[in-house]
Amino acid sequence: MTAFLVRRFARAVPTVILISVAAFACLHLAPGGPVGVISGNPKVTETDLARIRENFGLDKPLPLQYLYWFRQVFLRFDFGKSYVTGRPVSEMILQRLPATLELMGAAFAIAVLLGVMIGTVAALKRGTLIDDVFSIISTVGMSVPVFWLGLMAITVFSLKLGLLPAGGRSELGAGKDVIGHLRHLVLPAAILSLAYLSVWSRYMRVGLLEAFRGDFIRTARAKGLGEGIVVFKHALRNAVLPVLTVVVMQVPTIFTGAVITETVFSWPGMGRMFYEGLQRHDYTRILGVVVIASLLIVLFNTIGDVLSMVIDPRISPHRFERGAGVCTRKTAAGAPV
Amino acid sequence: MAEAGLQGRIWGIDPSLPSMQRRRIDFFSRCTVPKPVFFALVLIFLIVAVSLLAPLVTPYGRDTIDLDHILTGPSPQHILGTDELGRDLLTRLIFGGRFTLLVAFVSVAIATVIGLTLGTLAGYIGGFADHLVSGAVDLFLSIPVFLVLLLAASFSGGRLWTIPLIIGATSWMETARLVRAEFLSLKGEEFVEAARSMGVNAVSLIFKHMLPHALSPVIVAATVGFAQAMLIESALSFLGYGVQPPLPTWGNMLQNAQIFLRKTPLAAFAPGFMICITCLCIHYVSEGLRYALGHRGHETV
Repeated sequence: MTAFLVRRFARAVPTVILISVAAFACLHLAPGGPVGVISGNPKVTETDLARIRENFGLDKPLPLQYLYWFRQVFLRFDFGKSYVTGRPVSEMILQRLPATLELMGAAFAIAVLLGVMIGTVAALKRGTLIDDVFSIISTVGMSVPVFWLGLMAITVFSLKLGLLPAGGRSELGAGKDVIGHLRHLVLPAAILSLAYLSVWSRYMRVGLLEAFRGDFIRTARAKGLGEGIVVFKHALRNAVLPVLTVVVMQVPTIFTGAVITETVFSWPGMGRMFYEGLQRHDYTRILGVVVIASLLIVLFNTIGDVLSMVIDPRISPHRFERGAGVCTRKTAAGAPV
Repeated sequence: MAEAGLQGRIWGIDPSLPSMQRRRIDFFSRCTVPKPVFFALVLIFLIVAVSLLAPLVTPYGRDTIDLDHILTGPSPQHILGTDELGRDLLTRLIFGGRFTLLVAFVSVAIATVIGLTLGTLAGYIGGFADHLVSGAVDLFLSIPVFLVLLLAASFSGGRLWTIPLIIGATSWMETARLVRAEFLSLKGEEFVEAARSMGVNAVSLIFKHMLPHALSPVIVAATVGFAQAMLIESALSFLGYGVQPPLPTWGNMLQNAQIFLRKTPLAAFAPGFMICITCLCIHYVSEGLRYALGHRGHETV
């Protein structure tokens, strides 16, 4: 087991290195290179540029620059200063983190709860009207563009009915306006959770149906266990595994936020910060978010693999090695959020 | 085998027919069963047909400007109203379908070709090639795809051919994985062994004997990928980095309409509705295909 853990984490190393090379290449291939924003300023002379390059270490050979950059970014988590605001990127990220965690946490909580519930009910009532209705809802949830749903929700609930604010986030400060705070949260969290739960509830439903076909369920029923115990103690445990892997794989987005939803609802989270950075060609900020997101994804993919092995003893380390991990991993298709 | 015969009888097919012929009948008889799939196919056919015939069926030219009607709601002349430049929205919606579907189609084609090639290489050759491909899949599954897509799209300038390239290059992993897995299991099959022992060369072994068996999950993945690509394109367009106006796509029409949400809500409703309906139909068709192609197992979500 320990050997497996070590090997599994070791497998993440080349991935991280490749990510870092790609990110570094991005920084230098970007239009204008790392000093693109500064060199566009007509007041900056060629000597200024040379001085800036020297200050940032950009006159050194590329491999050396890469090593410096790697040490700075990946070992010290120092992403440098934003080209636009001049503040450290890590500080900007930390500032946006609470709003991101709040929105994504709420959406995740709703999606997990409802997803598991809907999936369970749909599986138990298989082939009935309820199953069909849930199936239609989740297919619609996977087909609908999140931003469109957001715009329509704003039109109905804010512009027409005037019930909820159209966007933004109220600070929980001196006023302690909890209700107002929640009113801002409701729409984006609900819409975001729909995108997640439509996928997760399907995994749950299929997982349960598959579990019901298992011999151990027949055994449990045959030995006279109540249906409640069969479903909740025996079948559900088995069915939760694929859902769990998919959910764990999505956990990194809790930190990186949802670009589209945050943009539609003017939510001051990480996703929107990324988007603003993109619009202003603020490459340090963009790369900061991308690198953090990648590292989190690598981490949680590994955790997901290990978790599924811990929960399901049938998945042996040996099988993992042969399948190179990727075989058990699922790409949860869903709308970009 | 016994099960196949039983199934054949259930579907009213003579189990004594040669297998290929039987499978063909099987396919069509199963394909026509579910009603939602049938309706979805009809709707997709309509949407594609109208999009292809766009210049013939639209009441106005794609970029024709009607200065007397700027930002109007629905009227007899302009059924869906007009945008801020006085262009007819119905016309642009139909042309938008053309570009949206085109982008999605090319994206999926690119992704499928990449996925098939890499998956075949990894599964057939194995060893070092497998390590390389699996590593690449791992890498691509470890990047925040949408953020990177956005970044790449912002570099690309949003031309009609760059967007499908970018989407295709970041969505081939599922196909590669499926093909690799199929090839790995096919390698042990007796008919492959037999073909090899008869001296069939590698190329025809791959293309004639093995690939056809690996195709059904790829087709299902491609249909789902089509819907996915449409959603990604519209999301990119919505953020301003997709296909750029004046070429209309449903995504950039939506982005445009967002500013005038209060004045002409229908302009924001229509393109999103079209995206939603088309994706919905594709999902149902892929569901039907999955069933018809007998692609069972844990991926049926």
